[in-house]
Amino acid sequence: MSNTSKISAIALDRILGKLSTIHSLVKGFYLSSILFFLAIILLPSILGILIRVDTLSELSENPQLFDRAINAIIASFALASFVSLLDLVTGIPLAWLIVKKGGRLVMILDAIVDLPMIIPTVTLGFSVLLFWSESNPFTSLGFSGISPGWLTVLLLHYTFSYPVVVRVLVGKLMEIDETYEIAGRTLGGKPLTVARTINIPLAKIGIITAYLLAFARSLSETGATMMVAGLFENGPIFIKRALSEGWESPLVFTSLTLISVAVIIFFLLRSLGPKVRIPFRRANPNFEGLLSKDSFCLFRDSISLLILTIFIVIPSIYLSLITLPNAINSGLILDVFQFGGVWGEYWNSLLISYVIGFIVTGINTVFSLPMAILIAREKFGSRISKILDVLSNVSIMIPSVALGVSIRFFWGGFTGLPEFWLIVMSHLCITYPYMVSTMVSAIRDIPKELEESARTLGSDPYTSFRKVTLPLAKYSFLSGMILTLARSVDETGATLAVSKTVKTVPIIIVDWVKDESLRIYAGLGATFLLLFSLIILLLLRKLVGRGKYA
Amino acid sequence: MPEIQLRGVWKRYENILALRDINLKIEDGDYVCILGPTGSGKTTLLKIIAGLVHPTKGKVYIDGREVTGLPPERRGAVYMHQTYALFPHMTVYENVAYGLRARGLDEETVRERVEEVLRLVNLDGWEDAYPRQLSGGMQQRVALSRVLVTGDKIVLLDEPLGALDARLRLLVRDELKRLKQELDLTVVHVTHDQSEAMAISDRIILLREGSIIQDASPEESYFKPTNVFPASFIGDRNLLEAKVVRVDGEGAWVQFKGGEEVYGKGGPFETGDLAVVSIRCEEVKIIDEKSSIPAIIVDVSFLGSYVKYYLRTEGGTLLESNTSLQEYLCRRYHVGDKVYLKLGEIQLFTYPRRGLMREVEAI
Repeated sequence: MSNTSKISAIALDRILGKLSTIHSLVKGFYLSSILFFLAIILLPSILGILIRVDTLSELSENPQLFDRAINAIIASFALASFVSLLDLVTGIPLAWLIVKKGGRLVMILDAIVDLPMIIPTVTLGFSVLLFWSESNPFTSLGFSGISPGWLTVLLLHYTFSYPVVVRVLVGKLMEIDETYEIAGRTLGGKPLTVARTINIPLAKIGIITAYLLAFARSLSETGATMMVAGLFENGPIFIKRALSEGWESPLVFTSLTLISVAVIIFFLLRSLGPKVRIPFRRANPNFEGLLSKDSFCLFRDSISLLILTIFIVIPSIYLSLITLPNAINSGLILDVFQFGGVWGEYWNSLLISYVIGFIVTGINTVFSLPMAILIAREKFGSRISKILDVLSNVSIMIPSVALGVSIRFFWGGFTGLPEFWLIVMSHLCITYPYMVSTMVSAIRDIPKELEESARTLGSDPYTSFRKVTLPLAKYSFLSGMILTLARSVDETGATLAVSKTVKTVPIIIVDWVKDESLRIYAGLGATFLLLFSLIILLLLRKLVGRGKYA
Repeated sequence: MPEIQLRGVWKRYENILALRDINLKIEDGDYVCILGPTGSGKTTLLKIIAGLVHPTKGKVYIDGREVTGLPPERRGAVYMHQTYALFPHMTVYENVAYGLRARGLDEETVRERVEEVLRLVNLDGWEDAYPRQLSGGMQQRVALSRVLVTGDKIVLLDEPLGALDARLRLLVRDELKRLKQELDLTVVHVTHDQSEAMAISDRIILLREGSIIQDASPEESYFKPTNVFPASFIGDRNLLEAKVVRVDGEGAWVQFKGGEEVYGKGGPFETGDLAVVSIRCEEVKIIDEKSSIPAIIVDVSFLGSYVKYYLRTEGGTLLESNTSLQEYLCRRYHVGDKVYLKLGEIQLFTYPRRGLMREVEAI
């Protein structure tokens, strides 16, 4: 850094430091984040649909469509509930394996679990479709493949929601103090009894969070689901069809129902879930002892690894495994870099996706930070913090296509707002909870006394944040930014709902998959999207760095 | 002059009243211990002085200047947290230098002062270590040097010895006393350990349920507790329930449940009142003469510098006696031995409204 820029940085620090001591200014800073949240995130997500409630009266004119909408809504909730439950049942043993068994292999396993999370869902959708389809890799073993329909949707949703559940559970199980487990064991509990009666109840909040996230993810997903759904219709797919066909009344009905029920489920699980007690009446030492034996644990771990390999890892990377060699052998790869025709459209959409992604990440970072400090440090009291904490997570539960519809109706009223900015608005709503919750948990993890000590040692609030909180939370903030960027670039449902002319890269890939003549490009396009996402992710990590402490 | 004053300070956390009407003056150069059981409001009081917590009502003055609305960094009072709050991403040097850098001092001065203070606490050579690489005692010294290096004359210590083992605690206690003298500091030290407060402070402020119960020198706190709670919290005492049988002069004759009658000072009482008899354990003397209260030894605990005998009188009253090591070496008693007791200074207190057990159970 040159001397001039050093001096300017010091001067800027001093100015910000001085400003941070002005009470009314700081209050205004926090209030602006609440205002942003209400005006840009919460109200458009809900009000847009509510202002079209009058169209519901037309629903009775078309009972057939009404039935279809009801069936689609039921299918959405049934699928999300089942998949999330399946995630928990199969995810807990794997999370346990990762947490309890150390070593390099487990560390690699820990990283592999995250794989589907970094793959854009449209890429994942296409990969899952190819893996389970008629031309699957197991044909020689007599497996004839699965036609697109409810089962492929279920398999797809399982693939992308399973890592979310495992990741949350691993984090939660790691937080549990080992001394409780040791106490349980020394009091005579078999390993399974201790896990059932101590670890699982202590991880209850984590289990509820994992279930909610998987549920929300399944309920919300649109783009990849469209690829593998065939004739199967769930809420988001029905909304997409209603949008294309111009069925406004069923569209409003389905969106409103999905939003309302999802928000009710979210509030019920958040408020009642922690109160549910997992009772411990009696143990069955013989049976639980048998299930705790090394041979059974080995069997359980093997099954977990088999599930991870067959249902998660291979379907996720299958597309890249078959596409790249084929493209290289056939010379198709050379066409990719001709910036005209279909590939020109592809690169253009990729650029649009990333421009939108960076704008959304930037805006959300700026406005999420004060909101996160406000929630984590209870700046306006614990009650307001709790309310804001819950409200800021509401949009995570709203199906993205339904949210897109609401945004379109809400901002559509403001004539002249270009489609590009409508996409930005919808992505802001979708990614906001990821950013806020990551920052909140990072700030909460930093003991408040560190900031307090910094203050009594003479720092103003800004300096203590910059020198103490920020370096400690930097890596988590970066994770929030990466999550936001990835989620925005990947978003399909809301983009489809708000935009007709501006095409982001997931929309192009969905179009290619649906068009038989262009399907050949879809695999390559999806693989390049994956590679591009990985490069951006690595660059961002390099740019921000992990820091000495992290 | 660094003098601290609190006038009519109240603090409420939603449904909990943490402090009620605190009026307090801490003189320049005082070493004051705020003593009290868990949840008595000690840390809240300290944080209010530091500016980390705002009082619901009342005013705080430092050096005669009102600082109630002033942020922590502008009070000239430095606070040391009970967990030390060392910045984990900074080295020992960076931690200690933090306060000086935050005040905008040039790097040369920062280096000189950090090196000087690290020498003072015997940590020179550890500048590049991270807090996680240090022992508990070393972390405590880093935290202390980080506080001292700022040059602030008011030092607020929140349970500074709580995380140390017994041996280190004694060492650091002496160190704190020495540094306070050497650097001419005004120290407010929060603790729940009465022996720590007695050993180190010039003044003990005893808090309970957010109120000041007693504000006195260690000696006065020990010898002249104002009621049952300080009597039970400071020192080692027998506190027994008794009935006033006769009012006499500055005190009264009281009768234990077992029938023994003793005279104690205190009151005012009326005949028939319930009272609490307070006898310091060292005032219960075991003698061989057959003229006083007969009792038997129920248990004996050897505690190093003294021996504690557990006794039961013929009437069933249970008493404890602390006997010096010298006396013990001259005359040893064993469980089951029949002895006689001579009770020294006896204080009488009004019987607490919530009952004796509940009054002392917070300890």
